[in-house]
This record gives sequence, structure tokens and C-alpha cells, in this order.
Amino acid sequence: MSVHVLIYTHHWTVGGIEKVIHNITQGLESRGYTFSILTNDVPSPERQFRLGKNARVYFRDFKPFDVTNAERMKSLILRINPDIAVVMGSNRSNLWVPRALAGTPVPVIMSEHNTQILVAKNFINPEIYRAARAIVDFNHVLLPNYMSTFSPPSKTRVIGNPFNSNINVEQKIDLSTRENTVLCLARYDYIQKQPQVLVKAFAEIVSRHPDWKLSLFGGNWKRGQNNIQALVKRLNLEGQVEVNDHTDDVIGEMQKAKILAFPSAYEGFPLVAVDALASGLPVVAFSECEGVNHLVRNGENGVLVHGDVKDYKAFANGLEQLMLDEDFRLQLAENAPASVADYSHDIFLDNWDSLFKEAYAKKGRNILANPNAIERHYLELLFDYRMEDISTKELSLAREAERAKKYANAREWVPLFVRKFLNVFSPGHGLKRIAKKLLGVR
Amino acid sequence: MNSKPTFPLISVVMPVHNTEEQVANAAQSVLAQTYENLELICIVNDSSDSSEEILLELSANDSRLVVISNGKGAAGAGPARNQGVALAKGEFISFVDDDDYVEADFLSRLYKTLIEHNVDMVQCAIRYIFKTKSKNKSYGSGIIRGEQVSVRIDMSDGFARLYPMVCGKLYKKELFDDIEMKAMTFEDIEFTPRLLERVESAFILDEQLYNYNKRYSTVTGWGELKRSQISEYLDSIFQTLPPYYTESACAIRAKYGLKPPTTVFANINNFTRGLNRVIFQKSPEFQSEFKLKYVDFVRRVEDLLSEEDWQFFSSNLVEPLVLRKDFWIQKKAPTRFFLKRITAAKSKLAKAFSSKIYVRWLEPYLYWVDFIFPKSPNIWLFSSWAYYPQHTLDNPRGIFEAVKDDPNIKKIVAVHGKFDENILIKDGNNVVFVPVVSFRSLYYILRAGVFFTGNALSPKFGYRNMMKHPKRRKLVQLWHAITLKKIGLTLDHNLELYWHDDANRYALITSTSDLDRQTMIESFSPKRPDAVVVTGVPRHDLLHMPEEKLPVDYREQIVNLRARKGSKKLFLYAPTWRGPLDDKSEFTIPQLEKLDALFESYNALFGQRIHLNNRKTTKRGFFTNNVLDLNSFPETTLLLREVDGLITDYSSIYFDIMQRDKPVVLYQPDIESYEYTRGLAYKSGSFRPHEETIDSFEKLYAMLEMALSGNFEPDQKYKDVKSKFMTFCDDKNALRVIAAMRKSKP
Repeated sequence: MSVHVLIYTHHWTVGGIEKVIHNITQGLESRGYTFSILTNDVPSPERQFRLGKNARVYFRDFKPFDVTNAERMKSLILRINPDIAVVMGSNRSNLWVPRALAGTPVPVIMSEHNTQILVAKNFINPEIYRAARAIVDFNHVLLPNYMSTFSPPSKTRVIGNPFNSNINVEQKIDLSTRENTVLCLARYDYIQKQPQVLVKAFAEIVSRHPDWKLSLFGGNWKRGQNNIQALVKRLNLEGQVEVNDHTDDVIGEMQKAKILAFPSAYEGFPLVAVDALASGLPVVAFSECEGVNHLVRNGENGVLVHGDVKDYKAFANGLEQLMLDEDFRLQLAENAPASVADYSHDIFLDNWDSLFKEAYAKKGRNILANPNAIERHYLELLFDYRMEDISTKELSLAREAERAKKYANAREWVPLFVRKFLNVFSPGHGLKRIAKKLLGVR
Repeated sequence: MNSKPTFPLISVVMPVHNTEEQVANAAQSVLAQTYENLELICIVNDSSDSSEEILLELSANDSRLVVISNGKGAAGAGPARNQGVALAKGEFISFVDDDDYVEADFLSRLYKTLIEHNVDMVQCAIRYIFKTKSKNKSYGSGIIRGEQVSVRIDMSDGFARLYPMVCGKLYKKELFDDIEMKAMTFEDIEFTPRLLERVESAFILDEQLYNYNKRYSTVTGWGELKRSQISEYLDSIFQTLPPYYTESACAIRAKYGLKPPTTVFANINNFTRGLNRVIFQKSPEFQSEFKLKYVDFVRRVEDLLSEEDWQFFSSNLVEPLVLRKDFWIQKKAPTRFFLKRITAAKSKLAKAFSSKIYVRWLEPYLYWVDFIFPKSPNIWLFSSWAYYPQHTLDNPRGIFEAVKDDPNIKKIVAVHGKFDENILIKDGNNVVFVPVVSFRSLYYILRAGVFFTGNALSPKFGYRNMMKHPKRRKLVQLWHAITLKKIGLTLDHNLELYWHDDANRYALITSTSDLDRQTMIESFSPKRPDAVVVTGVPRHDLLHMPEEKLPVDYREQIVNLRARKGSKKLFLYAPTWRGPLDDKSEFTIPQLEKLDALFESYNALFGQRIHLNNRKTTKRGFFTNNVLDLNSFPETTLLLREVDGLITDYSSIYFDIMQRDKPVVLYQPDIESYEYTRGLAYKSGSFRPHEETIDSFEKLYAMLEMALSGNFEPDQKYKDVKSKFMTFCDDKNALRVIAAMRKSKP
């Protein structure tokens, strides 16, 4: 069996979704799949994954996604002639492929790669967001607790991302020989990754633990690294906190540390946390952080800190609990690898393989080719949704008509300052307010 | 698509020069093509980095990649491409640059199209890639056959055209026999017109398959220019010009009414824009040298070109920074940020002092002034269309022609769009032209006692708030068409909101027959049916007028048209306006091919004219020796005088041509859906001047064959329709309208 899979992703650089695509194409090519990638992005030659020889990348621009561009996309996809189409991402471009493929026998899998809050935010219109999810054949999410917003659950599949295949899960880990180090691996992003919360938390407890060290690794993000350095200097932590650049040897750094601190505010699928747990490192994280709270279980493989995601004092307590109690730490480290055994590379590939097979079996009987009444309603909604469809000419005509209507109203001809002035004399409104202001009455 | 051995070999030639960062990406994009029977010939010239090693590494894994190194000091991209072409074993040739990359289906799409349409070369659209953004550039779509191929390079009319780069195209190999690129900087721009002289047909594919990396480009992009090369660049640009101005190219351009390509001035403009202040400031002795060289360049171009071509060239020339007067006032080069600030401040100042802003501010308040402002019955205002400065609407123009020599009537033509004094109509007595957005125009709108228009007033600046007092002036609606589709009040009210308001203003509405009068009453004036009078429409006067009486600009255009069509018969294809979301029932390329053959066999010409509102969105082009592009003519009425027949769908200009008893074909393949979505005022059979509905291409073909072969005689149906819709058939329509206007009560 040879199945041709088309994967659409809006961006094409070295990011999370691209890594998943890289893993899938590398792993499944030997199982009889061929892949085509379609992206709207402009790539830099040096910042992209090299895929297998049978995976071809199409760089096409479909912006703005209007009627003509939808037709263009449809004709291109039909020419590529895939058996299945997969949409990966978490923004509005997710609905482009399902919309372009209406009436065709190609089943569509919509794969969302972020927390539900963020996806909903990117979509703007919640009804359209529901419609796009309803007319695809399968929905894919990264974690089971994201499934609650999907209906029906029968067509939703959960496949997490795999941890690093270089990590040996069977290996015995001895934390006691390591230095007292708390590790944090995240880009210096104040909004999502919150390194500042960790540094402040560490400052709270540092006086009681002079033998402990905090080491941070990550890429600079909107001058976040410089700000963190300044913060460390201000709190006089220079001796005990290292602010490092991005590292490629993630596993090596994990093997040097005793605790992984993970103070993120929100996460789609925290690959660093999974990697750490797989290599036997207990994790400290916020229980409010969607994504992490499913993987890290309090007292079992890590510590979940209750409270607001900005509460550094609570985070300090959680951190200190692990730092003080060595037995507790060793017990967590022992449990950790087994707790993420479901996220191995082979299981990841098997899951995607079976999802592709399920979708392939639906070819020709897919929703977009023969929708039922409810799905047809959603489809119509999607087609009526003309956010980007209206051409500039039409818009200007509409604006012109609106203005004509506006000027038909005589009130509009009275200049604004005159109206405001007249408002002052309107009974019970202007004068009263002025009087109150003058007298200072609230 | 898996290519089987039956697919011919395609040779891709890539000149390589110091691009170690991008060359692997470029080569891999070629080797990963879905069309697999290809060879990639990389010619490495004068390379001082590791690009050659990178290519050799790739060629170890793929035998289709051939790397040839010419070592240090070898000449540029032109000779490298010549060498590549000489080595090529394939039946077809394509070029890819070493810093660009192509889509995976680049070759397969181009090859398929080339075979399908049996052409000599195919060109795809380009996506330009900048540092942080990208831009899709469309070059239209369609087919170019015959002598026009060599001149349709970078036309600005929006239809199918070629670009002068050699990349992004697939050629037949035999085109390259005994022709070579020169060793210079803009070698492909100099080369393409020479090559195109050999090409008989080219297909323009509107699919973006070639990605052009502007971010690394030295000559055309933002890469740093080398100072030592500047005089060489100027010479190279000069060398690119002669192939575009050969005698034959000029003759063909004149024949088809084309302008020289934008390429000729775009290169020098790009080049002078690319030079920045810093270069000049760092080396003062270079400044004077550049000035001399540039002036010398411009003089040489002036000597080379004919007077007309020189005017076109010089009017598009951008003055280089260094030659501007204010260039040397600032001693220090401002940073980019400050330059932006200065230009922003300048434009803000200019806006603040332009009168347009105050005119726009004032206009809404004139509603009240209009109540008291005295009106003069001897000031007549004519509205124009926005597209051509010299163009009043057809119907107001008919009235204008009837009264232009009358010194007692002051005639004001309010010009929409661009206002250019030089190209306005110069005849007539007591005539004033004003741009609509001006104080003068507002004054005349307030003052005029009679106003002639041809379309709705409510959405138009100037008229939307004034002209609302029907009792104070006479407002004559000469609707720009004989009503066929639903208009005015018969339309869905949500579609055009203003019609109730608009319809109350008219003192007189013209119509052409009793039947038309009924429709006009329903559409514009159901409350006052007396306002609608059967007078005929003034534009028909221009159809019947003897030629020597026609206005000067009409006569000029007639001479122009006759020169273009020669002694051949000319049929006009003019479809009606379609909305941006409507189906556009255009001819497909195979259908156009058939029509082309038909017109060829009868020694006739097929003239195309696209509705003004659809010009910007239409990309499809079809250019052969038998196809005339008639879009550059402002007046349809004038074309109808000259053509021998008309093909249209729902455009009511066919009534106009029936005034001259010429053949008409209504090609309506989508009549049912059009009737449903747009709405027609009459039953579909009742307005058709021939017995049968032409709803398929075969029927159209048969009908055209008949019209082309024999002499056309109007049959009974034709005469019936003509008499039903048009009572008058003479050149007195304008006089009747004026008489009715004088009689009418506001």
C-alpha cells in the first residue's frame, strides 16, 4: 500500500510543528508513505529541516485567502493528488485546506498544536472555529485534556509528541552523584516561559541553600535574556545563577542537573518536560499551566505548584520542598521515566500510522464529499464567512454607500464641536456635570 | 507524477558564482522535481568560496547533476549560460539562478503546458522574496502568437506578457541555435528580445512556480553595489536598449497600439535608486565622475531613440539622488530613520496645504447653501466618467456636441479622476473643464441650472449632498444604457441603497421607445411617469453623424483604428460588467484558438474590449496576428461606427450597433444563472435580435461563420427588436432631449 499524504503548515522554519513533520516523514517513509508539504512561508535556506528524498515541499502563497486563491489552492492540491490531507497549526489558516477541498474525495485531518485558549484566540470567530473543526474527518490533539472542546469525540485522536529518541529509558539514574543544580531550558520569553518568575523564586530561597545553583539555557526573545541578566545582577545572584545562551546538547545538560524548573504560563505540548521526565529528572511546574499539568503529576513524578502562574513565592515553596528532601527527589526520579513511556518515538509513529490508515479508509466517503445536514450547515457558514473575500473595490463601494447614508442624516452636518457645545445645555446632562466638577462632588 | 522514459530530457542550466549559502538549496530544489528526467548543469565561474565543493558533494549522490568549473577569472553569467546550453543534451532548456529556488512541480507544469498548447516556450509567474516578506507578481495569463511575441515584454496593460529575465521559462532547445548571450551585466535583458524574435508562440502560465530571491541580489535587489562597477553598469544598461528599439519592433508596437516596455527605463531607475548617499560622500572625486557619466548616458539614449520614444523614456526617468538640488544641503548623511521621518513630515505638510482636503471638508455642509444659492439656467453641467480625462460620458457628450458652439450657454465639464489640462477637448465656445474635487467645481455645481448625467448621483462626490432640491434645477438622467438588466428601483434595495433618494431628483429621464419608457418609469420614476419622455439617446447622434462633422478627438481615433485594422473586417467582442464574485463567462484558450483560426481563414480581425470596471481584475490575454486589443480606445460609440459586427453577452451596446444595421451575436452560455442572479427587465427571448439562443460555443461558431462569410441582411426578428426598442434612428436625439428639457418642469 502506498499512501500519499499532503501536510499543510502555515510556517516553514525550524520550529515545533516542522520537527513533528520531520519525525513523521523520516519515520513513516519506510512504511510505504510518500509525503508532500505545502506551506505559505518564505523559507531561509539555512533555517529548514532537510526531509527525505520522497518528501517534496511546495512553497505557495495563498494570501489573501479569497475565492480565487481558494480555487488556486484546490487545483494545486488536486494536481498533487494526495490520498489524505493533514492541516497542522493553530491559527486561522487551518480552515483554508478544508475550505478549498470541499466536494473532493480527499479526507482531511486537522491537527492543532497549541492550548485550546490560544487556538480560540487565533481564530477570532468561535463559530467559524467550530465549523472548521466539524467538517474535517479527524481532529488531532496533543493531550487528552484538550479533547473536552471537541465534538464528537469519536473522531478526535490524541497523539503526543515523542521525547528525544537518544534518551535511554531503561538506564539507571543516580541523582546523588550530581551537583546541586536546578535546570531551566526555555527561551527567555517573559510572557510564555516566565524565566523571571523562576529567578525571583530562587532569590527567595537562595539564602537558605548556598550550595545550590540555578542554570538557565535558551534563545534570546525580545531582549528577554538581557532583562534576565539585569534582574540577576539586581538581586545579587551572580554567583549562583548562570544565564546561558541556547544549547544544542539538551540531554547532556539534563544529566548534570537534579531538578528541572518549568515555570511556563501556558504550553501546547512541553517537549522539554517530557524529555526531562524520560531521562529521570523531577519537574517543578505550575498546576494552572495547561499542557504541563497532564504530564507532571504532583508527588508522583514532580511537584505541581498551586496558585497563580505569576506567584513566584508559591513556586519557591515547591522548589524548596524538592531541594530539601533528597529521598523524595530520588523517589520521583525513579517514577519519572515510566510516567512518560507513552510518548516514545515508536508509539508516536504507530499512532500516526494508524490515524493515516483510518483516514485513508475514509477516502471517497469523507465528510467534505458527502456532508450530512449539520455538516452542510457548517460548510455553508464557512463559505459565507467573507473575512478576506471582499475585494477592495467592493469594500470601497460599501464604504461609499455607508457614507452617503450617513450624510443623509442632517444631524451629521452640524460640526462635532457645535454638538458638544449644545450638549452642555441639554437638561440634566451637561450643566449638572459641569457643576459637579466645579464643586468637586463625586 | 512519475516520469517514464517516454518523457524527454530537460536540461536546466545554472550559473554559479560565490553563493555557498544558497546554492545547495537552489540545486536541491531542481533535483527534487516531480519531473525526473532532467539534467542540471552547474557552471561555476570565478568562485572563491566553497560553492563548488557543495555542488560536487551533491553530485556524488545524484548523477543528474553535472558540475563544470571554469576557475578564477572566468567571465560572468552570460558566457556561463552559453556554455551550459552548448553542453545540454535535452530537448528543452530552462534556467535557474544560483540564489533562487523553484517549486517541486516547476518543470512538470511548464512541460505539460508546452505540449498541451504546442508552443515554443512557456513562462510561469514569479514570487519575489524579500528579507521579511514576499510578493506574488502575476504576468497575466494566456497565449501570445505571431509577431506580438517579440514586443509584449513588460507591458503595463495588465494582460499576458513576458518578463525579460531568462529564468522561470521553459524553451525548446532549437531556439538557442547560433544565438549567444553577451558578457555584460544585464545580459538576459539584452538577450531576451533577440531570442523572442525567433519565438512564434509563447504561453504565459499564471502560477507562481519560480521563487526569486531579491534579498541576495546585487544588481536588482538590496545587495551592496560595488563602486568600481558603476560605470560598467551604465554601459551595460545602455547596451540593453537597442534590441527593444529595432525597426521591426517599433513597427509592430505601432501596429498594435503598444507602448515600449517598462524594462527600458526600469533598470536605470532601479540602479540610480540603489546608489546611496554614503557611496558619494565617501569618495568626493567619484561624485563628479558619476554625474558626467550619467549625463553622458542620458544624452546617448536621446540620440538613440526617436522623438516619441525619447519622450516616453524621459517622462519615466527618475532623477538620481546625486543630481537633485537639495542633495548637498545636508552635510551629514541622515540615517534611514530620519529619512523616513523627513519624508513623512513633508507629505503631511503637503497634505495640509493642498486644497483638496478643505474641499472634501466643505462639501457636506453645502447642502444648506444649495437652498439659497442662485441658479443660472444658462450654466449647464456635464458629468464625466473617471477613466479617461478627455471623456465625458457618451450621452452627455452627445448633448455637449449639439450645444458646444452656443456662446449663450456656459458649459462646464466636471472631470473625475486624473485631471490633465493638455489632453482636454479644445473646441467649442464658452466651455470650462474643472476637476470634480475643487472649489471651482463645487461653485459650478451650486450655480448650474441644468445638469446632465448618465449614472447614479448619490455615491458621487459633489453631487451626493447637493442636487437634492429638484425644484431648484433641472436634472436630466440620460441613463448610460438602454435598460436590459434590472436597474434603479427594480433592484434589490439592499444592493444599492440610494435609489429612492436618487430617483426623486430627476426632472427628465430619457427613453428610446414606448416599451423602454415603461421600464424606465418602473426603474426611476414610478411616482411621476410624466418625467420620462421618448426622445432617443444622444449618443446615437454620434453614430449617425457624417464623419466630417465628428469632433476632433473622435476623428483622430478613427484614423488610428483604421490604420490598425487595415482593409480587414473587424468584429468586436465586448462582454458586459461582472461583479468580483460573479462567474466570468470568458472564452477558454482552446475556444479562442478556434476563433483565431476562423478569423484567420476569413481574413478578419477579432477585437477585444473589456468592460472598464473589469479591467483591473482581468488577466486573461490572447494575442495573435488576428486579435486586436481595443481597450485603449476611450469611446465605445466610436468603435461601433467602425466595426463590422458585434459579439456580446448582456451589454446593451448591441442596441447601438443595430442603429447601423450591423450583425449582432448575443453569446449567452450562462443565461439561466445570469437571469437568476442579476435579473433581467424582459423575458430572455424578447430582446434577442436573432431567432435562436446562442448558449453553446458551437452555435456561436456557426453563427460567426455565417456572419463572416456572406453579406449580412437584417431578418424579421432583427427588425422587430429594433423597432420595439428604438423609435428613432437619426441624429436629432440631442435636440429632442434639449427641447424636452426646456419644456419640463423641475
